Amino acid sequence: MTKVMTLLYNFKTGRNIFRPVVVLLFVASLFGLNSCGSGVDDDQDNDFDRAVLLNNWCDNLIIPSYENYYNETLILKDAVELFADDPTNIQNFESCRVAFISTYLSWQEVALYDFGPASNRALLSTTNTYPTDIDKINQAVPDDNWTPGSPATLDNIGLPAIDYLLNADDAFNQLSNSPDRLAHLVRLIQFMKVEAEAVYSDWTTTYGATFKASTGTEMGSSIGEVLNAFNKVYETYVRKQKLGLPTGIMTLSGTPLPGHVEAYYAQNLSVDLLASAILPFENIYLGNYYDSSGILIEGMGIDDYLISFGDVEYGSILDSDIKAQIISSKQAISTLENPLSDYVVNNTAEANEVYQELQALVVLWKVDMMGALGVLVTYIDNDGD
Amino acid sequence: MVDSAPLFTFRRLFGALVVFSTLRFLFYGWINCQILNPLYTFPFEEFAFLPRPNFIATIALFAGMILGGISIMSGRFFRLGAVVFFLCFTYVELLCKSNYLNHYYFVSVLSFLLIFTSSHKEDHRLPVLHLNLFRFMIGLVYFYAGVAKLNTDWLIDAQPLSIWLPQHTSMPIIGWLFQYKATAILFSWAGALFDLTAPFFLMSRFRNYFYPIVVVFHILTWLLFPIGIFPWVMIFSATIFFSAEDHRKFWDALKLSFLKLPEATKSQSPNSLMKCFVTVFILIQILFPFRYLMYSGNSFWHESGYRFGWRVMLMEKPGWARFFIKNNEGREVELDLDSWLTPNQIKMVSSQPDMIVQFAGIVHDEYLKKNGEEVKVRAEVWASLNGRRSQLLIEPFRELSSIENSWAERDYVLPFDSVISPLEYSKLEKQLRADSNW
Repeated sequence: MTKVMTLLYNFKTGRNIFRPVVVLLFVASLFGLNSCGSGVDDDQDNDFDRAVLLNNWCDNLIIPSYENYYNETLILKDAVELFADDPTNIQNFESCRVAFISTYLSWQEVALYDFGPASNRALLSTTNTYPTDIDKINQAVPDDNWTPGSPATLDNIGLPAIDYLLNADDAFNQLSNSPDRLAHLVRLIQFMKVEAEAVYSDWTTTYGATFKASTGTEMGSSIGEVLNAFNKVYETYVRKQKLGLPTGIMTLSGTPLPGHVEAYYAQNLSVDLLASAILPFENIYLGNYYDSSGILIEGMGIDDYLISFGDVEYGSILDSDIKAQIISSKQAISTLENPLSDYVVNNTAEANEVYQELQALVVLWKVDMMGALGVLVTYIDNDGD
Repeated sequence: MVDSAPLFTFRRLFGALVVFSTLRFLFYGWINCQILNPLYTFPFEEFAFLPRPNFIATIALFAGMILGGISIMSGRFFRLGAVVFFLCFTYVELLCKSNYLNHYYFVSVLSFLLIFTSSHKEDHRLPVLHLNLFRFMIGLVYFYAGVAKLNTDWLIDAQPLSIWLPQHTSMPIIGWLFQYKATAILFSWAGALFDLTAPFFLMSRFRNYFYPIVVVFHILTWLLFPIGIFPWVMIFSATIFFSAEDHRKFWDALKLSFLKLPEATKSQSPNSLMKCFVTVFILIQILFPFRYLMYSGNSFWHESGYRFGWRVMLMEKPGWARFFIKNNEGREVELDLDSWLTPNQIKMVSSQPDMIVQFAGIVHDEYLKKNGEEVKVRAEVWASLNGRRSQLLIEPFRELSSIENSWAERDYVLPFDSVISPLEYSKLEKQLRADSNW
């Protein structure tokens, strides 16, 4: 009897029970490395292959969206620099405004990837913290030593600050007549371009491969990162920020806060931004994307993942509920009108209805979907209660 | 009087493990995110009088844990060290419900018991009670964890393992097994059987063959689930069932003179006070986990009497809570939870009814303090239990801030079989609002 004990405990002889365990773990880690390298192995029919999902997300959705966003910031930067060279040319100014709109729209496509490179650089807060603080912007304009990016500058840089400089009343004259103001605009877009470039290049050079290789579901795995950011950005940055706060849903006074709409100064953009913000969520969910010739490809998405569990109630029914609610939400958004800042004041009840529709998706995604996927989104050790 | 070598081993390993665990806690920066950063905490009601420690006091508490742990491990200033460790550790544990873990409670209980033993007197033969007290406690945790698994979710639906295991299909060698429902069923039954029988196998003459199963079982849970050091606590603790002779062989085999157990030449006689204490303690430990039987309904759902009962890894229960306040003028607004709670607290509040009520109280008091305003608080809470679809957890138009958490039935929790889905709720909401006095 004690023989086993000796085996178990006698570290000196090396014939202990832990030796096989260590060997097993070692062999296991070799297998682990191997399976990461080879990527797809499709010999199990009902074994959902997360590697395919991650590849689809990375190659067909995330990287192209970042590429697009980065290119848009480049175009905007060039437009602004052109304008700065010839500040009295209103044509140049107008092309800045056009480029601004497409940059803002393309930003919506990447906002939800708030993990990895984007979260390392706090891209979400450096790019789109609003409402922007115009006093701070006006203070920064004449300051030659001002540098963007520190926490104190978050509410006066990025797209909302550019929105103010390009779209506030009398913007053209103010920019034309003030070299400092125009130079500040250049600083702002240059910073945004640098950040966009850094995140985009992180994805294409190193992080993309890391992302694809992390096929587990534990905390910090790619799928965990995507779903955490997905839920957080939708709940907070879409539902709450784009519509909830302006509608006055979270203010004690209860009055709408028209100044809290996204792209407040552009007037005619907020609803379009909201409409385009929901699309990448739909795409990540469905795994769908457009190929280079513009044809819709139905790639692997969360819907396939859900259905792969086979449980009808929690698989296909949940999936069709989510799809139906995405459609309702998009329809609801289409009833909103620009300028949203006026709409939330004059049609508060209607805006609230739309908000409720956006809300319904949070329950489906955050509770039902996460419950079904069981992806561990814990922040700390958790023994399950 | 028996040779208490198993207890000495336990004391040494336990001390080492709690020191490691405390350092790990510090290393991960949890001292900030769990103790210092939260604006509000959710103390256990019975211990709400304990003041919240500031930075210095927190450092002192953790220093106490480390020094106490070292003292337990080494046996020097043992009694004082055990008291200090127990008090510091338990203090931190009681600060906030959102950090509650069964294994923290287990560590508290074990360190509490150590105080009453003479497990530092390694050259003594001790009354058998000292050793058996720990064997009882460790055996009880296994057995009760097994009893808690005897429910239909676990045994029939194989939940939550059916949700958790398929996440590990990329695990080497055995990963492919996890795609099958049958694996979840097998693991569920095997897990329940293991927990229920472990204490008896460990006490029997088959323990030498069973202990490797213990090791494999816990390592498997360690690989599959984020349960921190708990598996190691159990792997170490279970050695207490081996004979004194085995333990002496173990320490001798290490061939390190300072670790060698001295011969037990002296002996300590039993103490009747200790006998009384042990009897009372055992009775409480046997009965306390069953307090959930006092409540009707599904205890996973209302969670009355759920904590401190060795119910481990039984639920996948994501939730989403929206809190609303209504001021004197009748204006209702939604709270921005992110500006009140940490992500972990939000997660916990979203599915645990007593924390929902507690948070409503916090909100009420805060408005009274800051604005001198009496507000009413309600919450719309969605939760999904073990693979079911989401349903309303509590009455959505119930004023919550005036509810006192007590041991009474939680009548604000909706019955588990009411199953109000989001779709139905959107139709019912106006009526429910009208029917309530919200």
